[in-house]
Amino acid sequence: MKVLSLYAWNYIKKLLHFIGRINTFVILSIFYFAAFFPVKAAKTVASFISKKQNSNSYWIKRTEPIDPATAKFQF
Amino acid sequence: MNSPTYILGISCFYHDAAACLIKDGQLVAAAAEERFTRKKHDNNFPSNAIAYCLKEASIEEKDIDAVGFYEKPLLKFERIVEVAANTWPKSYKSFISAIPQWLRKKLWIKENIQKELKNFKGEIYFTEHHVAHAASSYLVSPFKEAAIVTLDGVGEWATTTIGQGTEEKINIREEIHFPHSLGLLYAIITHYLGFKPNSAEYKVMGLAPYGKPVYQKEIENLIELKKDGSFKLNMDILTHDESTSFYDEEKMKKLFGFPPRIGGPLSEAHKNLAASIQTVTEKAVLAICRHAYELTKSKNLCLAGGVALNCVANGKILAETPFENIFIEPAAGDDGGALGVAFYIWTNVLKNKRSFELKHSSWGPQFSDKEIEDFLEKKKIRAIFFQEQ
Repeated sequence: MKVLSLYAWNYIKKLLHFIGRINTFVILSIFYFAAFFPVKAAKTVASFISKKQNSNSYWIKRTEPIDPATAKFQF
Repeated sequence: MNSPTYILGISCFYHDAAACLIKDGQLVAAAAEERFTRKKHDNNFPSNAIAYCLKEASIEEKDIDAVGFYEKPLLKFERIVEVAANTWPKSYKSFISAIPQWLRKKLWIKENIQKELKNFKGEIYFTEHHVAHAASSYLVSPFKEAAIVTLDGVGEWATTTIGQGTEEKINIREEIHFPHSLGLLYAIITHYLGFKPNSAEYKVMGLAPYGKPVYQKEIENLIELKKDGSFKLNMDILTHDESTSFYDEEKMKKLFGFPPRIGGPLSEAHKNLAASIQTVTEKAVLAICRHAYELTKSKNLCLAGGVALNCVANGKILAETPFENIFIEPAAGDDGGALGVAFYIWTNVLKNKRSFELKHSSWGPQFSDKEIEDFLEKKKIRAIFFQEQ
């Protein structure tokens, strides 16, 4: 068991060492492709459809009235 | 007898930090931080302006019932991250340069306010940037109902909004989102003309009458303006969404036929470019106002946001739109956001009636003749005192 945990720790250290060598750019790029690329693709499709529907205006309609109770939140 | 309710409004950390204090719905004091620090457009936490407001009302931090901040920091951060993701990897440099400031202070507004106002124990509220602009104009206007137009560089996502005010309520009906922004386009041309963007737009407005709008078509290549006042910027040439530089220099040079001005004298071409951006801005502002009238059918208009500081464009609204009455918040830029959030809290969050009308803009520090005389004497500055006629 002790040997196994030593092996595991060794691998974790190697992994951390490897991550440490990757620069911020690569990490953020991975993050982008994993998290934001699907969002971007969905938005592009949505914007294409909305443009098709109303190409005479770029106004974005706001249907929800402002709820003053949301003033408690930072979002 | 109930003790009065004090609300402190704050704007800071982008440009034009300011504070304002209202007592039972009446404005007591309002001032921009730059007036105390002598740093133009100072964006730091407005400690001096707050101290002045408290002194003016003869109260202490513990007497403040609520503090309002003029935008929603997490929504704004969402925009920064999403835009960076959408334009990745071109946005790498601008994202990396913006992140430290966000991590250091802009994400911790509540904590920063609590740290700066140690004895304040009340609630902290946040409004959207353009709601603060809309409130700063409509809620202190003489109108019971009005169309509200806000135009600036950018808040969270919105850069332009059309809303409607009825009694205490503000309803934003339509908006245009970043990166499409009339304020940013004006700032970009300000930069191209060799002036400081987000600061020297007034110089471009002042330069405009010396030129002719011969580059109007070229500017209209940068902004597609629809009949209803909505618009879209040409993001093939403009790059403010993905980089710290505003535009692709080669493409702009090709478009206008001359490079960006870096110092040196102003040529005819520079004057003509100023006239062109002014002409296009006026055209856009008038179209937006006409659309606001169509939406609201109100004869009253309230304006706010940095673009509403363009007094030349404002001057044409009465003559060229169906509006009969206009109210423009004197501090239409981000400093006015402090005023907006304070009045929004009083009327919309705390559900009180409007009872204040902004009739002048002299809400900052004032100095008596004696104080000025003492200062000049202390500094050994020669002066002549002219008696009032």
